[in-house]
Amino acid sequence: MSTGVETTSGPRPAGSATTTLRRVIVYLLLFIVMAVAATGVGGLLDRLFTEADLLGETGSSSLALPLALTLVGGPLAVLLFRALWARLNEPAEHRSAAWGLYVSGMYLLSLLVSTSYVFGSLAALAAGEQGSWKNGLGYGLAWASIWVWHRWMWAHPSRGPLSLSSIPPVLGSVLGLVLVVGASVGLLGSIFERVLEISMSGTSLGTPWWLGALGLLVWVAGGMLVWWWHWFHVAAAKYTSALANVALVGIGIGATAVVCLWGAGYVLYALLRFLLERDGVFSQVLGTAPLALAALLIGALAWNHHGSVLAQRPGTVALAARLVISAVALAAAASGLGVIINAALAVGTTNLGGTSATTLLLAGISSLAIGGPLWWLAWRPMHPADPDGRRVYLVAVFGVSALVALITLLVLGYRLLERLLGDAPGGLLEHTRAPLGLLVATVLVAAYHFGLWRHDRTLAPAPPSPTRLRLVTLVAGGGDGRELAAEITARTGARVTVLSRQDGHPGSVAPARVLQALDGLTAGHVLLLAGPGDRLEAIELSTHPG
Amino acid sequence: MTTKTASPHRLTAILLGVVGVLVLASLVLVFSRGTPPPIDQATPAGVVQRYVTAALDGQRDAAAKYLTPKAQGECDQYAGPIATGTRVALLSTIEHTDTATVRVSVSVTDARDPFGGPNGYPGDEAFELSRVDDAWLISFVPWQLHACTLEEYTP
Repeated sequence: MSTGVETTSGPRPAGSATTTLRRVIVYLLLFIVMAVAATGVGGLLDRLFTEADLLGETGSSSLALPLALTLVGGPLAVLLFRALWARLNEPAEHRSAAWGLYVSGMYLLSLLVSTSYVFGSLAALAAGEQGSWKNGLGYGLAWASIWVWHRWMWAHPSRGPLSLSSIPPVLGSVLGLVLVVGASVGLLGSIFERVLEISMSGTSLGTPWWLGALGLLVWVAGGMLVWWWHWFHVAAAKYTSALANVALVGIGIGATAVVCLWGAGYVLYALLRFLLERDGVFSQVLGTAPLALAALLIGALAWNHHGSVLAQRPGTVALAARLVISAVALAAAASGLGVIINAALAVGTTNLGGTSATTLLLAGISSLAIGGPLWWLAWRPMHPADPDGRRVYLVAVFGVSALVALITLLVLGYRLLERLLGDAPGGLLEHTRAPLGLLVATVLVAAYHFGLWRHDRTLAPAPPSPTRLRLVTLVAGGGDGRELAAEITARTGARVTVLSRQDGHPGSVAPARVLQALDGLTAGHVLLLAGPGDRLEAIELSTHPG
Repeated sequence: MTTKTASPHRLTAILLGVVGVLVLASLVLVFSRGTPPPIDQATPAGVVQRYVTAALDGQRDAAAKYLTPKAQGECDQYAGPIATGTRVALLSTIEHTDTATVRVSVSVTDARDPFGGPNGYPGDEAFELSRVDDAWLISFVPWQLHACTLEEYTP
């Protein structure tokens, strides 16, 4: 850990580059060998489980591969591991990023593979696949034991990785969240779909629906277990590292908001079409509506939960989450507006078939109705806002909308010229209404955010960065140097380099005098001469030579 | 929600309550409805229903009875057995004087895929029927639902 105190010492220890390379190669080898051994053992276990169902096999080739992988990979993995484990007592090894990276990588890989095989097998059993449910269970168990092993290593008090140690819990909770949300949306969607079918007096033949639903129930339970274990038991919810914050804002809030908003938009769209269009073609729309309703409910639940976790994080994270939501809502509202303009222009052309102007209009209205109010709530245009916090957001949104506007302009130009040169039949409006609508919407978005950015800049021009004391070269005698250096660092935050005087007379300079001397200076680099006696001289150094 | 500061727990409770009520009501509705009576065999939808039921049951000879003679001869020799976990939902019927089209949604569920939903990835297919001697017979079967009888395999 750096305390800001540095003594000039000899040249850097030679071979630090070699050490890093050695670590990278060794951990890479360990990763590969571990994966090979797991696949081999998994293959053997798999054959063991499905032995009873085997009707015959072609030669012994199916036993050779897993056996080879196990016999080669297994002993190598154990040997390599024991050699590395012995070295992990040294603090340098213990702290290395390569160790943290290896543990994280193997942890996540084994978690992913074992959950997909184990839960897949259990789900197949629940869904009534009597014959083949044991396929893959062997692989799942082998990789599960790898996961247990690496979980133990990660949590080991004296040898567990110190750097990058927040990766396994955070990404593990993300995996669990994705599984739980995906499977429960499917499960609820199937239940609602049966209700819809009954209300429309439809008939279904074949496998009963609840067999598939039971399989999904297994996935929901499994995903919930993985998520709960990482989020609450290992307390990933309480982490405040950069990765944890990014995962919370990007996936916990952002992705769940997208799922919820898509569901809300589609449900609204289906409702509008049901109410306003009475032809029977809407059964196609209603096909996805149950799934959308499920997405709306589950997405809202997940979004709400992560919003409550947000309260325990620093304020910048909450601001970032609000900006992400306003970006998502803005995208929905802008595309809705574009489609509405498109539909309005389509009224002028005769429709021979396909999507009618009304359908397009309803789609645009539902997207705008969902995105617009949410954007208003999240962005709060009427309230004064902190210009610093949203500068990046404004620039990013302006950039994206400018890019989209450029692309639509290109398409528009192409269609226009195509028509004018007589290459394409049909009306001008018919060809150009889609890019035209999108262009209008993105130009509006870009103009608004550009104007805001300009306004922010005139309000509070970036203050000139004050010259801060960054570096102090302290010439002191005896042991004085270290204490003085610590004091200076504590007070000013500058880095201190101590040069010891050869005559070694300890000075008797009080730290308070030193700090007072430093207070009035404006340079970034100061030479401080302390001692002998109570002599104190502070010389500001210029950064320009000569 | 990031814009609400008061009681996100109350909102969670409300959402969970809504989900619970909806699920419970749906399950009650679904399970209280018995098996619907089979559709009238004189209609195209009824013929398709009987064909699909027989084919999914593995009764190929019974299924072949609902095909026109031409369709029976055209049975695809390379079609494998119908996949387990197939569900067929009848969507709509368009009936003309001598021909009819019955649209169905065919989906194959795979329990090992958590994101497919129990409907797998459904495909919209259509049966074509033609009227032969006052009865409807199937002239075109979607590829997922072929049920060839063994006789067609003899060269």
